[in-house]
Amino acid sequence: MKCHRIQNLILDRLPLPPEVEFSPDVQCHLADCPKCQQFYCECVKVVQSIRPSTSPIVPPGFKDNLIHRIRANELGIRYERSSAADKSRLWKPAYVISLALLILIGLAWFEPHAWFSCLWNRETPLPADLRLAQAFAGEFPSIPRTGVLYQSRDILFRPLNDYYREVHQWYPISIIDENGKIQCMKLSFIGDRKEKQIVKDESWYDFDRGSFIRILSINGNPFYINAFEDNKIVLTNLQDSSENRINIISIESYILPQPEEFLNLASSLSALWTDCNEVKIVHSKTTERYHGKPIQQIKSTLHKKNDYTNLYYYFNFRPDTNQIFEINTYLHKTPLLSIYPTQKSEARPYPRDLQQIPLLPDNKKYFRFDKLDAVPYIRTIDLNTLRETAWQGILYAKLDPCLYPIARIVDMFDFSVPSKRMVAIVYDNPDHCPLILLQSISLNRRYGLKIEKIGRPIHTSKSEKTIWESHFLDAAANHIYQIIPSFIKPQTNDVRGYLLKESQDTYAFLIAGKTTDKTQIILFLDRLTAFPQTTNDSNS
Amino acid sequence: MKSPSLTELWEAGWPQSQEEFEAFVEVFQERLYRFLYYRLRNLHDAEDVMQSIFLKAYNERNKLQKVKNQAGPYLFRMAMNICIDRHRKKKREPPTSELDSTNELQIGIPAEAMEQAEIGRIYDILQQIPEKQAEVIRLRIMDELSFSEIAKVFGCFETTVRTRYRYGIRKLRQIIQKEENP
Repeated sequence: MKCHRIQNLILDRLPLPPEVEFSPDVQCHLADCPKCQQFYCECVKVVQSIRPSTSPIVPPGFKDNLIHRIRANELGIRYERSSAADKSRLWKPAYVISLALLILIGLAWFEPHAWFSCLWNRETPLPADLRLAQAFAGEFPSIPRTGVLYQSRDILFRPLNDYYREVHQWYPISIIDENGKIQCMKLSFIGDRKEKQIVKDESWYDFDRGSFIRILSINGNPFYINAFEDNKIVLTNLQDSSENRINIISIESYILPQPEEFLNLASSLSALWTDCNEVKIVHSKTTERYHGKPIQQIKSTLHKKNDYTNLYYYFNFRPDTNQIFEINTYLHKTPLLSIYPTQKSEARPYPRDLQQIPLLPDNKKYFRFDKLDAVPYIRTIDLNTLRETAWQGILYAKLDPCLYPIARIVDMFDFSVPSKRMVAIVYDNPDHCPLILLQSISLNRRYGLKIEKIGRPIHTSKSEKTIWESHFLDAAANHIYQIIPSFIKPQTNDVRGYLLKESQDTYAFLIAGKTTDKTQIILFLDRLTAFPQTTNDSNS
Repeated sequence: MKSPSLTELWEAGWPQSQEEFEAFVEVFQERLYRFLYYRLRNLHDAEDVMQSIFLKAYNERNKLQKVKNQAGPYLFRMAMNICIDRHRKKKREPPTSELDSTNELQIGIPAEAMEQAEIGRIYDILQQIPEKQAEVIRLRIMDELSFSEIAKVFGCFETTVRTRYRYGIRKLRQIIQKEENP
């Protein structure tokens, strides 16, 4: 035999135990061939090197566990099957009952029973201010108001003293007349101007009637109704000057109202936007052609800061006749409402889409200003901006006939109550001594604007420098001083905040704190620089 | 009732009843456990995989009725495929997991650690030859299967298995010679 064949036979036998002998031919060859002997020894060595010395033992109880598991699985499957069958047996009557109910509902659908219509016509989304809406419905029971989107604003006629006797107090309002023209009116109050009068401007969308209604009333007596009914604008002037002491006259000099009046008009029409915390009015004019005739488009945008929703109003005018022929409202790109005041056939709102507007998202109950996101600041804002921010409130005084700025506002956050927005309002009413108040304005959906007096002036110097103190100023100071590098000193305590009016238009926020070496540090917030001044009495 | 032997069950059909399955487990558990341990190098993994294989073998017994006269080879083929899958998966994992596994080897009782170290050494040696040859050598030497059984596991001719085995041993001989006389 050749060595190669013998070696193959050796390899084939290798893992077998040594007591198993080779065949006689192989044994003879091995005895004579040292090369094959060496190969055999080496291969045995190889096998020994790759053969584990010990063999693992199956864990005790493995088989029992496995069998137990298999039995448990089988039982589980059977149990599930039986329970499923039982469940289906249990549900069978329910199927029958639900089928019968479905048939009944189907029958009732074709029967115009009142009970069914009541059942079917569920309540529409609650108005933004339910409390006011209910009160209003109670005052005017003759007008059905089932399912409304409600909005109201107060027009305040402030009491005037002798200084104003010669001045005619009036407010501009805008309406759309039955011919589609925008009318700019003067709303004035006749009578004793020493008493405060509030004209309510309320508007809502009635889902049942599919119409908009706008009512101006004083002391609960409506004197003006502007409605969108039967595919056209209907105006009803219920003015009774003797009873209501309200005078409405047209302002001929107005060609087009100011942009904010468009905004008021649009909000009155749609009655959807009651909780804006930032309003951006984009007064863009576009000259286009519509059916061959030149038109003018004015766009007003209501921008809601918190949830980044925008409401757009497009007013389309014919400049030759000063006639508005189309108003389109969009929530983002979704059309909410189109009004064609002069085209009866095409005029219709989009009630289906309108009901889908998430007017009251649950997670947006209050406006929240996050502590970390809100950079501490004091900024002077225009009163007009604030008026638009909270148009239901008394800040409407911007439209005072005197037409000079009567108030300046310092807007700041309250760090102790982040949901509130703190506003320091300075009234410079020439009738009285300069009245300076620190007020908080909290805006929320439920109560709209709420104004509280939260501070008091503590000092007015002869140089007209005034310093106020308030608990919320202290809270703000305690928050701010921690992030100002120059103020971070060990053992700084008793940090207080003060608002300082330096001159007519300048305000400063002062942070005063005492360190352990009794050094008082005052910071000027606007510049965020420390004054090296050391004083003993911060109030002086 | 006399319990069936390994040779009887190796070429039997797939167990259908629970009694048959119990006998099947009884006969094959030791071999399968050894097989898995030498490839996975972890006792716990071997036990888990063996349990999953047996459970699958029982749950899919109706499907596996077609496996006639090849219950043993089929079982080992299942185990081999699972081991290959796990190795592939392990290769795809980030290197940190490998570090973890090597750490695992060093932790534990000394005897087990030494045993694992030996398995690791054998594993490293066999990695130097082609995978098919290494697998035949594993089945032949470590799992003590005959050439005909190995051929059934691989689904190829017995001569092919023998050739792979011979080539593998010769290569290992050369490798070990080189290591001893560099």
